[in-house]
Amino acid sequence: MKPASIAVITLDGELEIGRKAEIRDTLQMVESATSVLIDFSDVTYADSTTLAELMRFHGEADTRNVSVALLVGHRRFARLLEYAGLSQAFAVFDSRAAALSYLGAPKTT
Amino acid sequence: MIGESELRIVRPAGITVPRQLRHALRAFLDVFAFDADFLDDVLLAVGEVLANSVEHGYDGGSLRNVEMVARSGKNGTLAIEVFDEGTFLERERLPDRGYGLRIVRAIARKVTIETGQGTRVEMLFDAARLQAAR
Repeated sequence: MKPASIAVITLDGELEIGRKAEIRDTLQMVESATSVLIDFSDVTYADSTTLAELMRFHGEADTRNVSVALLVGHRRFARLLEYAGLSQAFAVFDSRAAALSYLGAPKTT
Repeated sequence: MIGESELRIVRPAGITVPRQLRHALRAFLDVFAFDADFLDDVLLAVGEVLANSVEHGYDGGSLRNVEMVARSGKNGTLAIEVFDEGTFLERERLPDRGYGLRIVRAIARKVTIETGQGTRVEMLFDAARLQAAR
């Protein structure tokens, strides 16, 4: 069985229309990854610009059978998903360990 | 107790304007000591409308103006208008771009969109209502 290869993509700061191209460039599939953790821990603002890019990325991951987990640092991100009607669209975690466990990373002590 | 206040800003619709106006709005609202989640939600809704204004605010290379007016009312209510000189971009019909207006409508107590010589979006927010919903 192929071991899990987890790619970590990190975004930070204010994710909005002024950074649209940067968000798209950052949210690119890593060829060798079997799963992806998208780390929003240091994101202080995100809006529908991010959601649109996330949905594009998620669609691509689905077609490649790649699992995706979101790591968030503030409940405002969960509310953003809720308001957009996307609460069930992503696996969202507020703990890195829980997110990695979901993605199949070997447990460490 | 802080009485009724108003913030009015007009800027050319450049790509950095949503961020600038959100920060100005946060500074204006900070004095009212709203609940932090309410403040985040208001900034999110207004940010969505400002982003929409900027996306269709370009006119052959020249920038149209975007105007934001925020008025605090009594009992934790807040009215915010965003006016631009462009045509409202109804993105709900596009499969991956329809979240903005949905988010605004989920947060604001009332949303009014008027189109004609530009687009005016008025949002009414109620701190007590949003806090009770959580």
